[in-house]
Amino acid sequence: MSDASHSRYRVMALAWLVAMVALAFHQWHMWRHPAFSTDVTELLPQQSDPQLTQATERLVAAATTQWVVLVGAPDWDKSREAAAAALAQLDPERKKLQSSGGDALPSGLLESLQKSRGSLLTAAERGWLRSANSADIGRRALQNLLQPVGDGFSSWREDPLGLWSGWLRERAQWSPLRPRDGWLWIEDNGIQWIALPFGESESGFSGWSAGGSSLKLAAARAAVARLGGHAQVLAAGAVLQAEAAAKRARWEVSVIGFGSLIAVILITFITFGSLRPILLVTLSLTIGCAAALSVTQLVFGQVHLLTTVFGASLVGVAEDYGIHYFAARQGQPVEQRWEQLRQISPGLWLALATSGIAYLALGVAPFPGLRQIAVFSVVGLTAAFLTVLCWFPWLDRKPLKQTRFAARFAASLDKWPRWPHGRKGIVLAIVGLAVLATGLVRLREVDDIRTLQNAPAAMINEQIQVGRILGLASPAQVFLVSGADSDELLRHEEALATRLAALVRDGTITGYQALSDWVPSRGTQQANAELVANADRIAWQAVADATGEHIDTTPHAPEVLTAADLAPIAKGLPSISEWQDASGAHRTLVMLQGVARTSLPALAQAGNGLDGVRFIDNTARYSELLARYRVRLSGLLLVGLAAVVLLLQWRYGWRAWRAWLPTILGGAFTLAVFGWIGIPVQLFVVLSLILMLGMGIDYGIFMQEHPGERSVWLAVAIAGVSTLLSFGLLALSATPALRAFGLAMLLGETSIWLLTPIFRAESSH
Amino acid sequence: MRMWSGMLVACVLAVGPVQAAEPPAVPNADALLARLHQPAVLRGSFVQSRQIQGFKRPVESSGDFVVARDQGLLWHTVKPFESLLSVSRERLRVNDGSGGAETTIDARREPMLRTLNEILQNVVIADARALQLRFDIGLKLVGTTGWQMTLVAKDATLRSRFPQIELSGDAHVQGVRLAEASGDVTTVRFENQREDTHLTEAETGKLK
Repeated sequence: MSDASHSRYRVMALAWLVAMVALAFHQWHMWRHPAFSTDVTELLPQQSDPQLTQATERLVAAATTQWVVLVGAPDWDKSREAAAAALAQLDPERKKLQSSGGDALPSGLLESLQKSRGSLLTAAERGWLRSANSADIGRRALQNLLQPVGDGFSSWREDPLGLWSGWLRERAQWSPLRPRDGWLWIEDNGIQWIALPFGESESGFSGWSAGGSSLKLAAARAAVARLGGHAQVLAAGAVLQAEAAAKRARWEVSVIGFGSLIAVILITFITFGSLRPILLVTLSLTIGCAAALSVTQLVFGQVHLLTTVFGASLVGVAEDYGIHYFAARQGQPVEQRWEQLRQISPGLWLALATSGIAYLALGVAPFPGLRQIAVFSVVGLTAAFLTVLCWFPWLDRKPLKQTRFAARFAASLDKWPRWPHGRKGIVLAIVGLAVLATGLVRLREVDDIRTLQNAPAAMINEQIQVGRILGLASPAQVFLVSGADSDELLRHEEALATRLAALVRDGTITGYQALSDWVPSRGTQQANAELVANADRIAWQAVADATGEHIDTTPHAPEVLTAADLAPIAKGLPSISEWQDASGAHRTLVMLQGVARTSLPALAQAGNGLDGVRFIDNTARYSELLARYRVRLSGLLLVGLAAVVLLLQWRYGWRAWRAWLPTILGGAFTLAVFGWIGIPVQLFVVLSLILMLGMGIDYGIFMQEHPGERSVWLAVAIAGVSTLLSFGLLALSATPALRAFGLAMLLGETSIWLLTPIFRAESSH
Repeated sequence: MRMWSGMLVACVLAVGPVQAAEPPAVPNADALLARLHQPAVLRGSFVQSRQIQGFKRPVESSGDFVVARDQGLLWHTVKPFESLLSVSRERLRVNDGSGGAETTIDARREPMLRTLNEILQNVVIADARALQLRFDIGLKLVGTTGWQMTLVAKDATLRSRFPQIELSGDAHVQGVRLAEASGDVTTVRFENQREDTHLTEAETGKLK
């Protein structure tokens, strides 16, 4: 080696060392306070619509801070015992759980509502007052007068018909929980449930932490189980889901990461029979993964857990460079290692470029989740490659003998079957294509945001049960109501509420939560006040006539109630608060209860033709988004395929089909299998096809570049096996999208790997 | 319907701590129990007088009642006109006797009805043990057979609406005085109490 090139290698090695020191420092810093995001919606493209962004932010803020535990038994005493046992684990500081804002009408709220007494009416009472005659009103007033107890809110004279307490009672229905012996209680199907609501998790949630809430919940479940007696525990909340997701992701990263690593170590050991290749390949992988994490964190601020799970499969791809290096080194004099590196490095650069381009193609779309994965993967591959290039010859200073296994495996290429010639080959091709077609026609597409979530089924069931028992409104479908000012907002919402009330009556939905139920528009308040004043006058007169009393008939003058008066309970509840956005418009959300799939058309219809009302179906919106990107990336896939085919035609001429056909067949086979076993095609399956194109074509390229060269076959085959294994392990993921991705990669890469040598040229020997 | 929804709201609001642990024993509770009969079913008649804010004279009414432990209360006003109030675990109903409009509150819609039912029953039969879960009880023995009881709600919201309930009696409750924060005061006098072991079929039907 010349001195000049030697000194260049020295500079490269030192430069890489400096970079690695910086990396180590960043890693140390990062792992002291690990923070990973778990919110699936963060992976999705930003909403270009500011209204939607605002609505989503409100919903998320309300949903992520709270979680609730229900403890119940058929017997109330048992429920109390169980609740106490659970609470001792969940929060030993608190003896009982009282309403921490949101379980009944706090007295502060009552004070502010009281001043508007006389202008607040339930819909039923408004209807009654409109149709009642003087005799009806008089009879009702007298009957109230004769009951043993008043309502305690106002004297009989102030509210002779009980309209005010009737309205308060309807408002109290906003939560089905009721105090019982100091607990918050609700009965459902004969089970006496006690609700234990919690605010934000005190531990300060971090995606990588042990999950304080989940641990406490597990302890509470165990404590309740020890009591026996049919006591049960249900829990729901975004925090719990996030913790479960984090726990699951941590497990998957370990399984996929370490599984792939062990596979790489085993393969390296079997092939090279020495400790040095194992240590060096592991070093390149470690650096690759660490650099990927650091750069992703620096670019995006926070690494998503899904990225780390996906990224763990990188171990099986990034090992290629080290293996190629040692495959070339094996059996050669140690002094030639610089020369050999120089010889194989163009091929390695090419492999890095094709895989890198495939990964980068994922990041073309403005889809944050895909961009993270793209950046993570490209950085990981590049860092592993640079480690081989800059450091391996310095660290690898001893001879490496060729093992018997390597020699035997390299020779296996000669025995690999070929596609038969002539009629036999044509018949086989027709049969094969027909079989593929039976699978391909069965393919269907499903774009469901839920495939990105990995929450266990049991947890989702509990969430649904708790939602049903507590009548929780779902954030999946909401109405966004807008107005130029607060009063217009309320008028718009009242128009919507009238239609929603009809949907509640016919059972389409079970309920809705609207600001105007609490704060009617000025016009409605005024109309109510007139109705009430008139009815009170009739009531007083009737009772005065019956008793001979002189009743003070001065009407009560109610003050106008505004949304600001709801402050004591409105915090964190988007359905009973309004906000003003940058444009000055006032907005609020109407939340819906008991929405079924079948209610969606009626709901969409309910918002039609109303000013300032917009129906937002988040589930449908996210699914549409995934569908749009699936279609867009399918287009990208076809463009990429065409580009690759043209490139190969240019490079290899008529022989090129031998390089690209296996990849196309492998992709088709994968889709056919998905058709047969009924896995729908979704965005992540298209991603796998793009990566398949980027990596699978490599086998073809290598076989074309070095026809019949056994050491190349060895490297390609060995590297291929570990790649398969890594993506195969991804098929174990609990996240349906990653599972489909892993399975597709496993099927596709395996078939490409097997098919490529079948189509090798005759003259290969 | 006025007062019932009001009382319910008061109960609904009563989220303050109701002692679940064993409450401190009420002084003289044993002596009270020795003087008081608490049969399964109690029937009798009542005279009710309500002093309404701004009224010169109290509003009087009378009728008969039945209270059945764990089942409910029938409050049948005869004068000045017919009206039947029935409160059970499952629903509260007011019927004006004219066969006309009937008003109902269902326990499934408003679970606190059960709490209200318990309080009403326990007040009418002066069940100090049950009442002390929700009320601070002051008890005074009068003579050799009589007693007086004051109930102050432990929950601040309930207390702010109904500051004090006073009961007096001997073997049975004879009088109830209930003051509301609004200034209205209700006084009830019970007469002709008769003990029984079970409700008649007609009564059970009305409580359903």
